[in-house]
Amino acid sequence: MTDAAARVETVAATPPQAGDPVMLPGPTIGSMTDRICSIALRDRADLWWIVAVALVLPLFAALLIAVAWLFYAGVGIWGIDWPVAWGFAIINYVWWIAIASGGTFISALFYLAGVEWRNSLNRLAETMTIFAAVCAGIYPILHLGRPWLFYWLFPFPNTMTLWPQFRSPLLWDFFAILTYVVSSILFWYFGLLPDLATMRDFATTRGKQRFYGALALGFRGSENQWRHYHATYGVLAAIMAPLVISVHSIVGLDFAGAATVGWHSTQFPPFFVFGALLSGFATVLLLAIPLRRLLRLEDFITGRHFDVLCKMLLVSSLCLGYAYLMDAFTTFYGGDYAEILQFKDKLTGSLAPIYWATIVLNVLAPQLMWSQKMRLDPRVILPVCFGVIVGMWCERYQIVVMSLRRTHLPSAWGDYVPTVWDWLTLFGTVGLFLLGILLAVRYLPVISMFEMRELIQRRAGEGEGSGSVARNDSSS
Amino acid sequence: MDPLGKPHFHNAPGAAQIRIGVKVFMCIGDLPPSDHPHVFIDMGARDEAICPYCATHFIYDARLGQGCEPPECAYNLEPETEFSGPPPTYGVGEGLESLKPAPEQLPRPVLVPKGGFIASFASERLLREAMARFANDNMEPPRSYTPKQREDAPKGSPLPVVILLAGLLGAAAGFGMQAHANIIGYPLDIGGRPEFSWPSFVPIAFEIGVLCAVLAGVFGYFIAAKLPSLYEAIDEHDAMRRAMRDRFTLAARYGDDEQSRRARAILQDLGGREIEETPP
Repeated sequence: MTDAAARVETVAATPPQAGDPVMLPGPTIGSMTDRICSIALRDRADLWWIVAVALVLPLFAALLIAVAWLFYAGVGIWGIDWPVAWGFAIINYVWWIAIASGGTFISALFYLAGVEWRNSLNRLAETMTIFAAVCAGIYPILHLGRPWLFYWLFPFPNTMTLWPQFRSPLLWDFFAILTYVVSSILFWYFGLLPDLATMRDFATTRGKQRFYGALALGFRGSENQWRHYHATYGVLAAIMAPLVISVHSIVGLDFAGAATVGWHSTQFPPFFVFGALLSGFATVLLLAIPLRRLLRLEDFITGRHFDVLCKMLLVSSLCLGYAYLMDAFTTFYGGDYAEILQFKDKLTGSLAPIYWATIVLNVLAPQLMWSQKMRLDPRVILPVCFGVIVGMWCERYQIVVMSLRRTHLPSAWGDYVPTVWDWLTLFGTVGLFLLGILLAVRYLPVISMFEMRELIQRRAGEGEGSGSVARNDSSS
Repeated sequence: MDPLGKPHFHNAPGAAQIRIGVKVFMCIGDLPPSDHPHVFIDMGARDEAICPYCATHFIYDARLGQGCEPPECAYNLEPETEFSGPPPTYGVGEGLESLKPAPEQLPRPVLVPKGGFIASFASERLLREAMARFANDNMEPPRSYTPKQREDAPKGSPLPVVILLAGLLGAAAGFGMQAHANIIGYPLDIGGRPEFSWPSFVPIAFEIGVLCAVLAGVFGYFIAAKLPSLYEAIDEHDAMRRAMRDRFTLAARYGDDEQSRRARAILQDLGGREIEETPP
């Protein structure tokens, strides 16, 4: 085993430490590039990847079947009925878009904050965003009673004097999601351009060279190309940050704009943004920790990242806890009888376990992150993050179902029983998301190389690209 | 030997004379990384030549064909042996084999504009010094190709303004569309509420503005950077294979000998590697 390989093994064996820098000393520009590229350019995939894809493909197939059956037979195959006319479709949509938002928070919002720890997580976060956004984006179409008319939501010129209802938050949501999905994909691709160029130059076969070369559009690293690149990237990040906040606020307004019991609250927009922050950080941790181990990225994702992300998790959890408290306060302070009755039903009714699961998983469990030891221990972080993801789903369930089933008129009270098609569609989108992540990890550089170069160079001192490369060719 | 072009020879053994069977070839001096710039030599009408860098005496001997005497002076141009690093640490059971290019992709003959240089440096600092020296000598600055933006590179781009304008226009258009729809296109009297309910038009206007801004940014970038540009003449050089990896590369073309000589001096002085040149 060469020195470099032995070093990587040693690093892998050491657990993340409290004082870890943003990037462990050791990688040079050359070695970092070689490592990240070689992950994506392997001729044969690793066993863990093949097993993962094999596990995920049936879920994806289930999604296709569930959607096909839905389009054939209609939304009656789901458990939705009166009064709970919104079921899993909207729960899952909000859940996914929250996860997607988290990725953009890291890549755009923290770019503006100029933090160094973002550089190695950025690509993973953006990739997570686009696949989660795609999973979210299919639900508004699926849940339509007449999905073949989905294009009516768009203000296209027509002879029917048809216009969408611009005053409705549901339509604001349509535009927000459309903008968010398109912008995320473009931002992701834009961030990939220099790395695709590197992959093209690193490619070992003609086919790979053509593939990456076509996608890289001929980026060569010339002065002109870099000058405009950094200017554009900065401005795009500055736009994406308010975009993601606006998107999730508008999702909150989907609910708050209605007079439904438990929804009509002005705290919903920020409440949903807090939920998005929490879901996003939890999912990034859930993806980054295993990938760090499986792809040997311990040099680039260090204890510092664990520490920072877990602190962010804690902060979002506290914000969300505040939102739950305010929910309770405004219900009783407002004094509306229907609202109070519904709130009591949430806490003590037949679906109370779901409400309490939300509190425990979203607010109580993340409090473990006050302890630095816990923040650095993947055995604690992973279950807490998984719990947060489940807890966020329960929170959406609680918002959608528990409010709709206890309307103003007791004679209209009802219940919601999800069907197998509801569950298959949910797990199917999980399959779609994981499949997307697996493909991206396999074929694209999982860490943003050009941003890591800046970090490495800053580390090594003024302009000394990589100390060992300058002196010793064979180590590059 | 470059299988598709000129044969390369080196003189690492330090032979007083090297007999070769070709008249058009390249001398690299010592083996990499101690090679001198790969210089193109054409014996022309004569039967011998002396390398301007290492003064190796090459003698033409037609019987040798593609070979040479001493035989170890032939240099096989295998770029990947120069680029080899530690075996990929990721993965089990695969070494460098997967990273070596298939033979059909070894570089094609270098088509450079006459009197062109391309040199790559191991660090950005060296590149910056080279650029500074070119500036001091009042020579036209070379073009650079780097894997990250140079710190001393000129900054500033019209794109942020373009993005802002596109965003504002998009937002205005979106707002106008909604106003039109609700006042002129299909006005609805809902309990006497105002048709120009502008607060409810703001979210969609904002989103459309953002969408237009992002589209303008990305496609504006492609226009400003002149992408896609899948092929440029500079790509023929081997040095460009590492321009986006770990080398800081510059390229220049000077019309006259004097400038070429000075440029060559600067590049060599700073230890630029893989300096390729052709005579004007």
